Amino acid sequence: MSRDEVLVTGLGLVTPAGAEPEGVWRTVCEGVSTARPDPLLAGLPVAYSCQVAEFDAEAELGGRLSRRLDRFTQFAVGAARRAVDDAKLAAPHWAAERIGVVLGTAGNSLDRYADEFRRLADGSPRRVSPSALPRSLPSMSAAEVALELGAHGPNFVVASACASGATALGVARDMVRSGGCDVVLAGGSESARVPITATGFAQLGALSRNPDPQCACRPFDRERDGFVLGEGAAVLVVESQAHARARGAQARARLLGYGASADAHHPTAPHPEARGAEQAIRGALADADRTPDQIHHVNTHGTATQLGDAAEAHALRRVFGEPPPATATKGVLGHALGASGAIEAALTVLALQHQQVPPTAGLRLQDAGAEFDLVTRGPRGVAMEAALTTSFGFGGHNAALVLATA
Amino acid sequence: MSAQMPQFQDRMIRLLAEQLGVDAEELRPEQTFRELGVDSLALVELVVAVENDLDLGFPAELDGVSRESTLGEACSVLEALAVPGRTPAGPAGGEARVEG
Repeated sequence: MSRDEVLVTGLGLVTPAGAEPEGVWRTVCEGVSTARPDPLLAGLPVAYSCQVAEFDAEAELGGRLSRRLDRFTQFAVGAARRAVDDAKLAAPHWAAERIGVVLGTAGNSLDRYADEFRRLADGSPRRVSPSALPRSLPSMSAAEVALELGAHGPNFVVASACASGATALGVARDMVRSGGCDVVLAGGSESARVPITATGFAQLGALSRNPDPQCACRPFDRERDGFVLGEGAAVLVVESQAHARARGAQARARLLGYGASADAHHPTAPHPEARGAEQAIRGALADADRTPDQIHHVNTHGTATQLGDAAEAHALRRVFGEPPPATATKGVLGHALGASGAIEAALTVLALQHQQVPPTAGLRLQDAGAEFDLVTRGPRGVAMEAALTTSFGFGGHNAALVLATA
Repeated sequence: MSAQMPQFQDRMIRLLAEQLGVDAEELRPEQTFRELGVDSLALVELVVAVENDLDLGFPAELDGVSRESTLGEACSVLEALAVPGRTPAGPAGGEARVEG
């Protein structure tokens, strides 16, 4: 294709496995779940999660900013700063009006709402904080990143439930490909470690009830019984090849393809034959101008719900016949919802750079008759040029990305 | 000034320090809100925090409290206007200006 390519020139991560790409990669390759009891969720039906522990918002952002921001926005700003540093993107190559920010987030942020709702219920609406509303807006993550970094280009948040982070990257890719932006800081951020949100997922039956947090998230395992809540953010610097070349930037990977679809089937359940998932995967491959046999690794959505994993296995087996070596990194990191697609895109970039596929924590035996090559126990060296990452959300939102070595 | 002033002022300064993420010792009564970088939204947030923390109510119009007020002046005005217990329904006092 003669079209100018779109590159990933920087990564910024804030995850339960840390906030430095090589450290995160090592932890993910160890294949051990980061889930542990969560004091914020004590007394709830499921009281554990995968938590971001090594991110001190106050130390990093300062007292005033960290207090103004809900947790998902703190993560977004932290990840965006890291991504821009990683890309060495700075003056004189910082053309503010040509730099966009597109982040994904699945839900509204409810960090402060328990107290505010209590005030309303007490008949004291005048005691509701005026900042409760603005700080909780989903779009505030993108807004605060722009404010922090001085990015004056298009700025918004996309919501496609648990596909949001991947959708953001796909949209960002299109904005760079169209020539509308030189650079888009794209990814997702989320924290669902709030009692009402965690309870909502528990009531939906989406969360694992395994009494042992360490063994709770079991993607594609026969005995899987739901996901483990995670949190975090990933921001990727999505940059035109021309812009990267002009500033002498090194790419970590190329963002080759994006496919998206809607199941139009059910509000929360996946299509039983994974119609929409298959369409998104085939769309991403076509967009990347790759045939299935030219894809060498899949970072699956793999949340460890019964229906979701079964549908995804079905879609992958139908597209690939025998899918290439795959992993489900939520086994280690839990499910960061609207951030997960971006975190997994970042891990796919790292897989391409390391030529390694990390293991799927928690997987012992796959569903009979639906097996595919999921890496377990330890990381596996795989020669790869292109890799796929998939994201599927409630509402039947599907997104898939194809990334390739730089 | 009432005899309770120092306590009210201490409490309000502590709440503002919490909101701004600074030590209370760094805030002095002669500083204005503008000097402290407290915008109109943050000022309303502070008033609401004082109401919640001290279980007080303020009238909707807070004449004499603006970004140009010093912390000390604002404390005097707020303490004089405060009535114990919750305030009637209506918008919070102050002058937050926002768009969107």
